Amino acid sequence: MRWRPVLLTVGGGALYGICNHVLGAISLPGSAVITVRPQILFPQLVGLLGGPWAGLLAGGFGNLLGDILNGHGGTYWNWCIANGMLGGMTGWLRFRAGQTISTIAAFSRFFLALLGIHTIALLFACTTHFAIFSGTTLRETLLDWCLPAILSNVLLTFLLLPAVLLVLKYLQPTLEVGLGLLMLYVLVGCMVAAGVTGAAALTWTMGNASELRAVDAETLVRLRERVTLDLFRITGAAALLLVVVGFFASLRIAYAILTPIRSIMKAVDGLRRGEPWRRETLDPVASRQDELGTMARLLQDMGDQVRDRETELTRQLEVLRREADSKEVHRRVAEIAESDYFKSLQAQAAELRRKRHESR
Amino acid sequence: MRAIVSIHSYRGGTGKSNTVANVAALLAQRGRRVGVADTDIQSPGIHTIFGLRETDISRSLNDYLWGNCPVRDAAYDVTPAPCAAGGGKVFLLPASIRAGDIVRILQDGYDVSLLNTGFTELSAALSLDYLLIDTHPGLSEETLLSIAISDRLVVLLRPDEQDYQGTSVTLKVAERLAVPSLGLMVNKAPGTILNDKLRASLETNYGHPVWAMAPHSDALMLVGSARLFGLEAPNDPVTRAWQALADRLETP
Repeated sequence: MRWRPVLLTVGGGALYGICNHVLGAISLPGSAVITVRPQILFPQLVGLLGGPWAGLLAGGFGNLLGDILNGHGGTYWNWCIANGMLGGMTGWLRFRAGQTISTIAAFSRFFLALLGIHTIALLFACTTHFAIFSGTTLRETLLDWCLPAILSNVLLTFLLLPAVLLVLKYLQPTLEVGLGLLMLYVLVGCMVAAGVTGAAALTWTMGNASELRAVDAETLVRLRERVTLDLFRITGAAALLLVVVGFFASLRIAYAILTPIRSIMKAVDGLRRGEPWRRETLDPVASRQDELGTMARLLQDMGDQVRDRETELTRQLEVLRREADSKEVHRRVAEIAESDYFKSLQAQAAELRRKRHESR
Repeated sequence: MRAIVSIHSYRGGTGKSNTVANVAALLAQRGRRVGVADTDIQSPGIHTIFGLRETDISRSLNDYLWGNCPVRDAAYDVTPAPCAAGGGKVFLLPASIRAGDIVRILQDGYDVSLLNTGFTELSAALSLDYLLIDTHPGLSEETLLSIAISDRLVVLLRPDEQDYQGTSVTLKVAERLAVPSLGLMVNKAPGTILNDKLRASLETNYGHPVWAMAPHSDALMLVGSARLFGLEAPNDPVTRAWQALADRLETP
């Protein structure tokens, strides 16, 4: 087990660096600024599986490896630190042996923490980049560069990481987690669809609008970049906002459903363990007009029946205790035992058995 | 020969014949050669579970008892298909179901000791591992004899029958006949936690172990005495109880 963090660090870091070189940053069509980097999962996974140090080293050196392969050397050391921060801080959320996410609260906390970590790491990278290499204004750096990068990385992480965690069994497919996943994918999916639709509409308008015929090609490209970026920022930010709101909404929904289910589970468990039956503990659930109410009422019936059977059995066992050794039993046994037939049988029984065993 | 086992219940209608037939089939499925003797001469019924029709039965236990034929000729190979593969066998020694035969044996009686000779001969002729005896309810002479010659006695009871006295009498009589191994089986057991309570109470009050507990089963009620439920529904709780009893019989 001691080699696991080392292997994770080296393997994850190398994969990250190589992907940075081979895939680079894939630009969204129509915008050079907005990039998609699925390899961003690697430093996070190393952190989650190997802890803060593993994440830190894999992120930092992975990025450095990519930069060296791309011919930048160590020029952008601040980005190495930012990537190390991403992996390292994600390491705080690391999964201990046997630890899983099984509740909506843990699920929400986990993904909100990831959102925070991405934001901090990229803010660090962009502000240091501005301070050291300058080039543009701080406002442009933050809005045109940092924000789209945060949106892109976080949304990719939100879409890809749950699937990976499910496969690795760190996400337990409970009802709650299922609700969280459904919410996450529906909301992010809707916003991605909105963004794609917007981009398609933009492409169509720019190709067909008569008002734009007089505009020269270079301006058109810049205009297109501008609108695409705005579209991405608006839909991306809306998606993140919706996801955050969605976490709280599903927290509410999960508790609304799970509280009655828990009290039903508790009642069933009590029945199973033979605790005294208290049907009134289910009254709050049983008074509901929905499926859970029906379930609670059925369970109350079942509990009543079990209690009745137990009462009946207790009565029966009292009869058993009274009759098993009663005078009447002794009288009947004596009556049989006194018969001549029984006496001769008694005398022969052992002999009959012995003979049969000998004749084997 | 491993053992002669009597399966008895003081009352009728406790599911005795079904228990005998299915335990026999389950033992045969484990490769055992099992004989089943129906000594419930007054109200025979176990043959239907093995799919033996009245017309199939030319000779019966009655013919042997009247000296009409050797006991081997009254036994039928009723091995169910699923049990044959492992070399298991089930032979049935049925009682006659002809009304005339039943009346005659009730009126004239028979030499009860012939039963013992017959069982010994049958076990030898068919090289049986087990002979299971489906006894007549109550404690008639032939039942007492069956108990007396048995190596094991299984007393069946149903907790809702309230016939705790009869069961107690049977057990005490068997103790006096020095049956080496005595145990109880509960049919229509009430359910998981209540079972533990019932088992503890039975064992304390009777001083004998409970070997198996079978719950009520609607599925078994539907099959009734027409087929071998234990082979059709291997995972039913009732079948599991029969398996537990078979396990117990297999333990020396």
